Amino acid sequence: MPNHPITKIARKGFDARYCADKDLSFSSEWKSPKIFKQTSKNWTNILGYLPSFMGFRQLNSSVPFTALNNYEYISGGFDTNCFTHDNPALISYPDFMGVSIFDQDVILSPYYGYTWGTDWYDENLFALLFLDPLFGTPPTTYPLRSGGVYLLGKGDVDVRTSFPYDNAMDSRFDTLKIFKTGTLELKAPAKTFAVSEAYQTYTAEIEHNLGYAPVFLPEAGVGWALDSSLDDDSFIVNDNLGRLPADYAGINSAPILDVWVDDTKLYMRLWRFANDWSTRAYSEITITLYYTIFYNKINEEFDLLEI
Amino acid sequence: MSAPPFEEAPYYKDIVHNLGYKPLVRAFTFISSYGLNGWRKVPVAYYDREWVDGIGWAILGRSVFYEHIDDNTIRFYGQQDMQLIVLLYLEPRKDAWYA
Repeated sequence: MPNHPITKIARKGFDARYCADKDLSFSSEWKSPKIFKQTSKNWTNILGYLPSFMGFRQLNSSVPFTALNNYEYISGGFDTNCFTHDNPALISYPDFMGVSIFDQDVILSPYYGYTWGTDWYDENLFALLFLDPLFGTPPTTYPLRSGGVYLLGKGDVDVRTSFPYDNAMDSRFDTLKIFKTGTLELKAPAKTFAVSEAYQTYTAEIEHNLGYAPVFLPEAGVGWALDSSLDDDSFIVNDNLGRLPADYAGINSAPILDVWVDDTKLYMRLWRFANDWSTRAYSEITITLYYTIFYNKINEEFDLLEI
Repeated sequence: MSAPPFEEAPYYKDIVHNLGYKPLVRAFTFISSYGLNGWRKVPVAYYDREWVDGIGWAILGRSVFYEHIDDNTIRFYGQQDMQLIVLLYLEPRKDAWYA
């Protein structure tokens, strides 16, 4: 046992003194994510180390938001015809788009590209910046502001002077606040497409009714071309987000999965396509998304850093 | 689940976390592409340039990605000597909070 005080909260049915960490709701020995900035613009880094980040695309002005994908082939805004998927929608410079840290600074480049003659542009791009280091070593001290501040330390550092990353809780910064968790299941029936039959979509959705587009996990985006291990099987979205997409989507090619939010709902949509030279059979499948919707608003912008 | 094709990313490294479930993964890698050097979220596909004697600059497709081998191991695929930062989150966990 450590020789410093620890605050633990157990999940229902468990004893915080003896249960495994996985059965706790909270432990002051853990670092909780601390958001110091949300922005739609580039940010000149003054931290002295590289912060971790999360990014969300705003697909168009009528609110849909989705997580980032760093792929060569990526679907564009909802108002473009790339969602017909006759051909994959190309992003012009995937290496440079999205949220990146170049040198020391956070660079935001909203996606744009084309789909066979039609240019498309995302409406905007937002980044959540965390004190959690991506690279480099955080400083060891931080000025304590006057006024009410709630700090909970790990016990081995002085909460009054430590850098906030080292505190278990720190009211000077935002964090990810869970609004709703649940399971979203998308069921697609067995179907055999006739030659060149029109595509079919299958959608599952869950209401959150927050009135704005909330941050959500897992970081699933739109335009995920399902590779051969996923294109006709049931699977869990959360467990497969590390995979690269199939090379092509659309007719004769891979199905597409889209995940996005707007101000009332979280959506998951599957696109299935026919072949133009033979029939194409799909199995009955279930795609499962274990979602977490946070109170955090994707397109809120703030800066809580004082260095 | 089968491993991705070898030629897509010839090197891999396992992270054994022994959590007994598949945790939320957030990972970042440092890429160099057309002279632009920076950190990107994983998975990522990008282009790299390599000088080939007798030919000149060759444009190469690169990728960094991962898969959960089982409930205790995550396998990351990429290039030799790449830098990779991996954050594993205890929560949210799909079998703990979800109805």
